[in-house]
Amino acid sequence: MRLAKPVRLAFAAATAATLVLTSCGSDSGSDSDAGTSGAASGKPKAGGSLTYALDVEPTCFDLQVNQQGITGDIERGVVDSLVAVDAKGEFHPWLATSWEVAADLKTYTFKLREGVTFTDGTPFDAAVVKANFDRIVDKKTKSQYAATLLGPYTGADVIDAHTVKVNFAKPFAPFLQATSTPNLGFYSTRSLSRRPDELCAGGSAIVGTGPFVFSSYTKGQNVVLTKNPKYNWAPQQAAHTGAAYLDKVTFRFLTEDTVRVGAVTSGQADVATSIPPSDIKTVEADKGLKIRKVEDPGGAYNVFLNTAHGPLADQRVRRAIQLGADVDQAVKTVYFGQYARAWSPLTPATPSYDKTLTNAIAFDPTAAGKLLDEAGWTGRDGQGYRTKDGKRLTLDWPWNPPHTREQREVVAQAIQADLKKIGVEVTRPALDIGAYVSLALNGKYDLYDFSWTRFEPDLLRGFFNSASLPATGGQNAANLRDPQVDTWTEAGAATLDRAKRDDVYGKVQHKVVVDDAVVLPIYVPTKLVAVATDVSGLTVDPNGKPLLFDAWRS
Amino acid sequence: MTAIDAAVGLGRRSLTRGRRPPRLGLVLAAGVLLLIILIAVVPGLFTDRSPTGTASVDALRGPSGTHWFGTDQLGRDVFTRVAHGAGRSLRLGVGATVLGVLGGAVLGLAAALGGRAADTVLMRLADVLLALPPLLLALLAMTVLGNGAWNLTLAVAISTVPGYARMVRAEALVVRRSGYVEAAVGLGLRRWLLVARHILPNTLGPLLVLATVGFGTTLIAASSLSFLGFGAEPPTPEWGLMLSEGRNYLSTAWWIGVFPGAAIAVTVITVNVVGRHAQARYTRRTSR
Repeated sequence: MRLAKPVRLAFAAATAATLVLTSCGSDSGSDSDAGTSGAASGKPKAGGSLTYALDVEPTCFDLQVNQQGITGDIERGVVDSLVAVDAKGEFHPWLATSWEVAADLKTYTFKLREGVTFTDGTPFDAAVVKANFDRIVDKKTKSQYAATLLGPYTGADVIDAHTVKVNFAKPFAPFLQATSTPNLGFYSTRSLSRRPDELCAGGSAIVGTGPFVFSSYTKGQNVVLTKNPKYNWAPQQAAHTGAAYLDKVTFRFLTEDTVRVGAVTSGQADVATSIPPSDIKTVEADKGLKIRKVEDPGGAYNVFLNTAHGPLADQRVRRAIQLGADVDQAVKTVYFGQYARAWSPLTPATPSYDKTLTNAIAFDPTAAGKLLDEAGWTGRDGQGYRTKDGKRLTLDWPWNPPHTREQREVVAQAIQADLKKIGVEVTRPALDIGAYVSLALNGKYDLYDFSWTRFEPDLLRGFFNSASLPATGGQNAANLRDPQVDTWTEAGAATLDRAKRDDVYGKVQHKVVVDDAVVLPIYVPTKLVAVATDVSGLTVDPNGKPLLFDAWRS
Repeated sequence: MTAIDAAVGLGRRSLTRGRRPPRLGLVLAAGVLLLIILIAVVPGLFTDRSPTGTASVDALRGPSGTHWFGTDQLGRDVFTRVAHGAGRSLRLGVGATVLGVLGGAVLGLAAALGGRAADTVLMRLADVLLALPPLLLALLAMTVLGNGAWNLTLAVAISTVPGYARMVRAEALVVRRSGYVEAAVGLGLRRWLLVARHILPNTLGPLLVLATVGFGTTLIAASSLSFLGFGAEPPTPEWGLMLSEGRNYLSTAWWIGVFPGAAIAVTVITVNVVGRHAQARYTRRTSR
């Protein structure tokens, strides 16, 4: 998932924040499959260092607590996962050599790889797996994301030193995919015994089994990772075995777009994430750089229409909003054609994406106007806005400026201008983060926007299931209560059958976009990463995390 | 024309008084300032486009005959937005200055005439507030008050109050202790008459001069807060906000940020030139 600065709040507020903060997110970080097309060719060689400029600085480095995507981007090289996932959604052994899934999807038994050690010398075994999962679900940990990946986790049984059985209260199909994310990666026992604030502060408190060691963190400056020379347990899909090629990776935090672009064009950084689309031409013109473009899996950048508040309770008004804004043109203009228009709440790179939705809600202001007339918004006031019973058709779309990225506020202005033409007023109150977080609880908004990176269509359950309302810590910002959507999303979570999942998730996407009209998909979040031409082998995994293991300098 | 006439008029008066001829800079500054005020009051005189009307096809065009200052990321005319933003930005500056001066005058007079206890409390409080940079003080006030144009004006005003209060108190004390006021008090002049007839008129001059010079700082503070997103909501045309929106396009479309920035700079410089001149004249007059 992607999101920006999480705010440390009480647990209740923190879970609510999961919804809120996603909108601000920053996934930042990653790269592309440079390995196949790198300008530098030849045989990989070990040695050298890499400077990697990021657009967001994590507020906490504890993967088990923090929900920011950036934390996983940085620590993907520090922790390993039980399984690795490929672009087709198939799972491969990593720290687990094999696994068995019970027919009822309530227990998963993993055989663990032998001979794996943490970088503090302690062995990786079944007890560590259990200790990590137990800490994540412990209420005291205040996990804002990892705990949701464990879903209805009830505990783990250590069968022997290298066999562990994970138990769930209900069938839980998304678990294998969840174990492939860095948020369910493993810290050493010694690491887990550290105080929460020590883990949050990063640096040597964080100890994993990965190809890199978390050496240091300087606030406001950088994170330094150094090579783990003993590493010898890369997943099969990696291009090589043994230790990583790079001796050192420095992540620099350069939050201003112009500064980050300047750093990579001047050679101070070898890689820079989140290149603004407006700067793509500048970077492309630079012979020493190449642009890598990867569309994120997961939730598109969506605007959710709140069915539980004000005029949007009427489906016809929601439909009119979907048709009344020229999203195509806005996305094209603001992102210079670099980002694709989204048609579904999921992005095309997500399993079970419904292709048939393309053009399902094409721009049609005339039809939008008719729908508003039908809904009774026939009056006009002095400023040209529609009214009903003397009340103006006004929609509140609150935002929190410091956590708004990717020129989303500009897209919003374009939508605002389009909707004004059909007589709908959109106001954008700028809220501080505290007020923004409490929106989820008080529901006082008409429109709400966020994106969410994860290689798993089960996201739809979080977005649209009526058990996932924001007031209870969920992400159903539209407050949709549709029994059919509930049935389908629950059916999807209870099966691993690909065809069955495609069917139910396809139905969900169609229903929420076309019939319920509770979501207006805007664009497909896309990583635009500038990479120096002498860097090869940098790849990105299906979860959107950069893989530094195979990267090398020529 | 109006601007030039006024400038010339200003110059002629100086000449007849036997002062140095006005500097070219002053004439220019006064002219430009009058033009900016005219734009602020009737922006429609200078452009017939809408400051919020988007035209995506025309996005990010450079300055040209049709779009003097170019177009922004949504194809809105930057000149139109700068022109329509003038009123809002100047209102912030003027509003904050006026409120600051009023607040400062009340507190300064209270300190000077309210007895030893009031003086000590108010001036120590002013010391504390003066120890903080004004912008920080304004930010603090914003955090308490919440966002919005009115709150922003108030926050900036609050940050300038201690300075004005100090000045008013000093002036008031000088007047209060002068021989003729002592005499008037001795003859039974009431306190409010003392304030109205002697102290206020004598304090007003330096206060207005200081306010003119302070207006520049105030406008910058107000624009800074707007830049940080505490002021008006987008798509409202407001200089600080436009500058902030333009900063992401600096390397590709410099005109989006540069023109609102230049508008702020030019306004502040012209007001300062005029204000300094007024200050110099005032000092010469009183020191004679």
